[in-house]
Order: sequence, then structure tokens, then C-alpha cells
Amino acid sequence: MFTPNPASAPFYTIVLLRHGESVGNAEGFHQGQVDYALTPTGTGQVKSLLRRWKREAVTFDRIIASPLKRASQTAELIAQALEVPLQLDPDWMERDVGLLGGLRPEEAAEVAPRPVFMHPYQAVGETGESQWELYLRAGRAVQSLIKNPPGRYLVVSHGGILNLAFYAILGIAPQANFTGPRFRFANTAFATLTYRPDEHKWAVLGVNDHAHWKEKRA
Amino acid sequence: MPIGKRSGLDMHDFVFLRHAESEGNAQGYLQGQIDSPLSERGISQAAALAERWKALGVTFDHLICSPLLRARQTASPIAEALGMEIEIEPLLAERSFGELEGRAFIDINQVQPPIDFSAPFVRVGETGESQVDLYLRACQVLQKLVNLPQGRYLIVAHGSILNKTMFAILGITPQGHGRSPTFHFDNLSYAHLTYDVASLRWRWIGFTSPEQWDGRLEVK
Repeated sequence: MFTPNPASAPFYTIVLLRHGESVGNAEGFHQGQVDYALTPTGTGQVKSLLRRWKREAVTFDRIIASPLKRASQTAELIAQALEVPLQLDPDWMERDVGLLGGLRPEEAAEVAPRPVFMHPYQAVGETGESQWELYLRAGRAVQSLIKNPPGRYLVVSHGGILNLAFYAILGIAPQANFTGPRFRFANTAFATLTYRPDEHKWAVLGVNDHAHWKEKRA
Repeated sequence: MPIGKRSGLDMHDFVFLRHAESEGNAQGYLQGQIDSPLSERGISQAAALAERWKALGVTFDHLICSPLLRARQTASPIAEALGMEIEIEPLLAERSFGELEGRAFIDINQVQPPIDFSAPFVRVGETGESQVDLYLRACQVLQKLVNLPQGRYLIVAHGSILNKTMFAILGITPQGHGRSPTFHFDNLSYAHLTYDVASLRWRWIGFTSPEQWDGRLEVK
């Protein structure tokens, strides 16, 4: 496609990666900020990703990760294998889902049934973060990321907050009833973006890339 | 979710594919609505994708294609391999660039003052489409697509119109001076999205370039 100004100025390459399979994923718990570790399958997914990235000679200047175990363990495996510095940033943690954290869907339906209508400022799980709160935190996380100099960054985080980071980047506002678009992130799937600060130009190069392993679906 | 393989589909499932390499791409001129055929390389790219999808058992209910030659030549081997008819949708044509069509990028990039392709309301090349013109056309495309019955659709089109279709899906509007985000469609890149009428929700399932498919083939 036509690019009017092929920019030579330094730019950012940003890879947004979701963590590998966690105990919460495998057992079907609502997770939020409840701290589940990776399962052996999750570790295997990260290793498949690393084999692929080594073959493709992928490297990063810095890895920024959520401090929650499922993300930080994913990030540590990558940081070690690729010899890249790792920094934890709590702004990249998953949504606080309030009373829903650690519950199975059937328990969740009893403890904090989802209202028929939810406005975007309404707390999830009664005491958790609303869609707007998550959006504001995602915006702050992107802002912190761009305070770093241009370079190649890997963000290791979670499906919910990564979706709202996409909203902040693309200019999509949170909607009622979670009806905004949803960007799928399978475990260890990643999205690739570039950002040219001299033009304030974001480009999306890939979404939900998990060519290193096949998604199992019922 | 693998493309085009769900059973008992209760939603709209769309794969938006950009055409293979055209002569215009290979020679570096601005095509817009000029009819430029696929290059030799483009012809083999399209044939390889058709073979690949056939081998993977990918199916679609309908194939909807831009009227421009480079899109039709991309769709043709796919339609043949998967046993489908090609439906032509004029709204899927590439952006009109007016008098700039057919000119080399090298020349266009030297014009002073630089041509602003992304100004929301300026008709590019005097008689071409503005970003808002193109966005409105993409909205019409989208309305037509969602009016169709639930099912799996392959849409073969072009970089600029597909970008604005993504805008219409995500709820982004054109902004001035190149500030809007870009979805980088290489030749044969495709975006895979679903729309669920019941929840009113779009899901972006994947966006991949041919490089990534090659990777996938290596990995098995």
C-alpha cells in the first residue's frame, strides 16, 4: 500500500504478547488480578514461541511485563532466552474483576451476576475496575511505554488490558455492555505494531499471531 | 479459530484479503482504479494461496471481489481451487486517486508542496476520493456485508478500501495529516473478523501476512 512519506526517523516496534496458559485458564477460573502460575502447557507454549523467535532472529531492547505470575513467568523465560532486560510495570496487570476473581463461571453467576445493562463506568464484579478505569490504565501504560526511546519493545500482559491498550492506540472509546470490538489474544499470541513519533503514526502489522502452536478449540 | 472451518455457523465470518502483487506494485506506480494485472510473481502468489487453502480444507460460502483486474485475478485461482463463484461488488474498488493514477511514486513523492493523501475532506488528485469519501464507501460495504445471511465470506480487495473497512468495523474515523492508524496489508495479507448480531460484537480473530504463513508451514 502507498506510503506517502517513507520515514527514516527512529520509530518504535511494539509487540503485545499475552501470557501462556495459566492454572486459571486451564481450570476455567475468572482470574483478574488473582495470581495463577503457568501450567506445563503454558511453559511449553512459551518455549515454542522462543524456538520460533530464535529461528526468525527476533530480538528486543527491553521487555515490559505485568507482575502477575502468569505474565512475569512468561516474560522471564523470554528475557533469559533472548538475553533482554526485563522490567515489571503494574499498569500492565489484568483488570481487577472484584468479587469475580478466582471464581468459576457458575459461582460467579451467583456471587455477582452480570447486570442486564452495564454502563462503561460500572465496576466489574461490584468492586473491580470498570471498562473506563481499565481504558485509562491502558492509556497510562502506553504513555509510559512511549516515554522510553524509540526501539523494539515486548510487552507481556493479559487479554483484557491488551484489548484496552488497542483501544487507546487506535482511538476507540469504551462502550456500554462491552460491545466494543474484541481483539483475540490466544495464549502466547501476539500483536505487532509500529509507532512513528515524528508523524504520530501507528501501524498494525499483525493480530493474534500464534503460528508457533495450534489453538485447541472445543 | 482456523479460517472458514467452523461448523453450524451462527455469525458472520469474514476474511478480508488484499490482492497479490500487481504490475503496478512491482513497477512502483499509483494504481487506484486503473486496471493493472497481476505480475508473474503475483500470479504464482495467488496460485500458492489457492493451493494452500485447498490443502488445509478451508471453505467459504461466498467469494466477493472488487471489480478491478488485480483483485479478480487473485480471486480466480482461489474460486477454482475451492469450487466457488466470484461475486463482483463495485463498492470494493480501490480508492480513486484522480489525476495521480498511473504516476510513479518517485514522481509523486517529489511534488511540492507534498501531496496530503490523508486530509479528511480533500479530493486527492483533483477528482479522486477524499478519506471521508472512502470511509463512507467502506461503511456502505460493511452494511451490505452484514445484511447478508450469516456465513463465511471471503472478500478480495485493496489496501486503502480495506483500511477504511477496518475503521468502519472498529469505530475509528479518518483524521487529518496521516494521524489515523494504518493496518498494514501486504500483498495477500488478510484480516479475519467475525460479527455476532446477537451481542453486536466484532471480534478480530487474526491479521497475518504471507511471511507468517511461511512460518506456520515450517512449524507444521
